[in-house]
Amino acid sequence: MPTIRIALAAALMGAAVPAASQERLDDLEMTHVAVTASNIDVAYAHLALALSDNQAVRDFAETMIRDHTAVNEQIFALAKRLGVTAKDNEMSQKLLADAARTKDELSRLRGAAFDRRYLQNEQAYHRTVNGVVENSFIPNLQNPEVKQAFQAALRVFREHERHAGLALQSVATR
Amino acid sequence: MKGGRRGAAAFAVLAMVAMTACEREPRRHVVEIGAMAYEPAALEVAMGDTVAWSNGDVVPHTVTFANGESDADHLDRGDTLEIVAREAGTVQYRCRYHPSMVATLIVR
Repeated sequence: MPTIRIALAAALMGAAVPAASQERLDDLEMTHVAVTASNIDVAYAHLALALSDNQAVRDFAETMIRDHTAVNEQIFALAKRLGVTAKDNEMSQKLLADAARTKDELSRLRGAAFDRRYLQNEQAYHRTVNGVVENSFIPNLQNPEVKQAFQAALRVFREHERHAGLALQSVATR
Repeated sequence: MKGGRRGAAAFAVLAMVAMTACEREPRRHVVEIGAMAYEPAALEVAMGDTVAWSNGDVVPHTVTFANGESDADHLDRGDTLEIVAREAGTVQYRCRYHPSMVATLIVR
């Protein structure tokens, strides 16, 4: 059940279009992208807990770990019930490569510089991924239960985007 | 009621006072937590009524009153928190994890 071209999603991610961009993402590949995106955000959050003393940053990071872990657990439970496994794909790999560079950049920062950059990245990352999920994934998902899971997750991630903005304001005024 | 708990004593904002005799039977009200919101967002109850917050959302939430912040209000998916309204007034509560989630409880 091919549904969406990687080229479209990659363009929305602000990424270069992979060479194999004529491939399409199906439900299992979109699920893999969503799980990967959540895992990346959990990794960013662990970095924040290791490097930041700012309470707003730490609270936000703990919420990212709590929420993305919960969302992924539900996706895994749904996949298990449906008897399917998410499929790795080029877009997931691109996300991971970009995240490695971002983590490298963040890990070189300390103090207020880290706090601002972490939250700026969180706001931008959620805005971008949310846009892809809302405009590219949800309209093209075929399985109603998977689509419903993505819709529920998107409501959570929209809140994360707002939360990152609020936290960023709080550290910017310090 | 998986993980359900009673928080009658946990909230200073709803101070414990002896319930006066009332003519109506106490009622139980349910606030559903889902889609990153409390539903209803404003609830009016009578003294002696029970309010139950039930988390059916994808992620954990809290029901945190202005001066009652505590880890005891953490609600995983499927958890329910119950309190008995003991003092008249209007109080706001929120989710400690998600800043946009706020709601109001009115006790008559």
